[in-house]
Amino acid sequence: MAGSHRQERAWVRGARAGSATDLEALFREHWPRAYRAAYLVVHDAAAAEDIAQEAFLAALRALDRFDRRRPFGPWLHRIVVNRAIDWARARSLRGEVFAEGLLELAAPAVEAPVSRGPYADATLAALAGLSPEHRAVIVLRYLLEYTPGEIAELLELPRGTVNSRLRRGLDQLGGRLEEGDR
Amino acid sequence: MTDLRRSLRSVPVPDEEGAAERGWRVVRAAFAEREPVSWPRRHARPLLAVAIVLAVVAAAVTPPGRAVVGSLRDAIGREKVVGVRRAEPALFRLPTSGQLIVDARVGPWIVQPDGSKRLLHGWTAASWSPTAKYVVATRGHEVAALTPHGDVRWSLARRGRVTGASWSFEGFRVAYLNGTQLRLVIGNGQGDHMLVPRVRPVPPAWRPVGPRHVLAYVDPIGGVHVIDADTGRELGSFRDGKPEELRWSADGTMIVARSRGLLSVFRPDGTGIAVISRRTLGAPPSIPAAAFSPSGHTLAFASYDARANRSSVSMVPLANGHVRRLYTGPGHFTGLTWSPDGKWLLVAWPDANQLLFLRTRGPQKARAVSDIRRQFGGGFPDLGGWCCAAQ
Repeated sequence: MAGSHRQERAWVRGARAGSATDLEALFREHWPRAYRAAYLVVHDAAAAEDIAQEAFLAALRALDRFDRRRPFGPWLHRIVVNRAIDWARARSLRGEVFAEGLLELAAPAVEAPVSRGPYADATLAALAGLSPEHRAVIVLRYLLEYTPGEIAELLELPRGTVNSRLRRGLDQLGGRLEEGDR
Repeated sequence: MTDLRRSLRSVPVPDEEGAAERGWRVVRAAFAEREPVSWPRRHARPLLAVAIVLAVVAAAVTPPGRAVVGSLRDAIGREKVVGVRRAEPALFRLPTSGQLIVDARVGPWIVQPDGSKRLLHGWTAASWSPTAKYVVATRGHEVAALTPHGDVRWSLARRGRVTGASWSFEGFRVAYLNGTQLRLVIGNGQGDHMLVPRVRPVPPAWRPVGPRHVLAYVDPIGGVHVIDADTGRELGSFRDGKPEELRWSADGTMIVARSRGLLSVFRPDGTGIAVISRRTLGAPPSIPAAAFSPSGHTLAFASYDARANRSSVSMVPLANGHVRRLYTGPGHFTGLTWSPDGKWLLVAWPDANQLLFLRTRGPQKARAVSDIRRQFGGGFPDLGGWCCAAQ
């Protein structure tokens, strides 16, 4: 872990000095989880792609001000998850429904996702039933593996709120998965 | 919990590799435009900014400076945007039937198909009644119904500034903005009353078909509301971006809300149908104009790419979502309107000092008219609407 953090600092230093190779290493290291985290919160591939891209662009703009002693991941994940929550909230407010045949207006065509096991599919479906705030803490805890204290810091929430969202989110998720089993 | 961790990592995420490659292309392009900032440059920028401000102040206050700025502006202005080279020198005729309103600095002009035009002197903006027998015009604190010859049939004065007046589908209602209020008056000038106390300064848009008087407006924080104007009952609402303009489809089943970089199409009950944004256009655009075709569900819009300083006019039939680009040119397009028969799009191109007529069907054709500022009394005009055959 310490080694990877050292490596990451070297990439950040290189990128600040203008090395595209170091920037690419940083991008390849962090993109998959950033994109996945955004997708699990918003459940829309095009929006997740936009959110992850915008987070990287925001990070790039702030690269010169970035404190190299701190890890890059939490900084990026804070942007990704907060934007994803905002997007998901906005969508639920406007009740967006895309008519079939118009999808390419809203997003580039994507290939149909390949199923990777019934449990993963069921988890995705169950996750969709939670509120964006509950999805975000579940994703931060169980995909990105932050502690509740770190999540509280990332989302600027009291730790008690994070714990209760985690508890409630897990309960709902468990309930939905059980319903799906029946 | 191990199961949850495992399944979150293995949940199928669409097109992971493609998304990563597209993401990397975007980030790499942004990185290529960025230059690493060294210490001396970090400090040189504020100094440079101060020097520029001082130079501008000097240029503004000293006669030699003003002369240099003037000649530079002339030189840049001559080279900036040429427009269509073989443009007609004056608006000799419209390419198809109908009458056009053009809101100029000196007032609204009504242009006939043969190119003759009449100025509604003293008014600021105007829009057509449904059959083009009348126009509703505004100026300062006043709203009025006029004949196309300028005879006033009725007028109303209100305390706040009056803007954005428009006629309902059969001419029995007129909605307008009065300061922050949305107000309604019967088509004969009577029964004026407030409909909504606080709205955003976006002209209200009537549903173009009956039987009910259905009106869309934008609230102060950007939500679009569709109401029955006679009962005040809300029929639907929608929120996406900060709309600057609302347009209905001709059959009244869709509304497009145009924000700065976004077009959102939705149904009157608030159901979203389609979004045209950066994802569709491939670059952060601004979208200065959009309008539905006079029949069917084809949406035309202008977009501007600031990085390339170029604008485009595109059409998209919402049934298949295929965007077709009609015309691209340097500088800004600021307005567009369809001809009544849907065969032409008129585009305002102030940077070229031209109006551009684009054929929407068959082989592509662009007809341009130059020297627009002089013909319409100075200042580049706004397009007010192209309506109906002459009565």
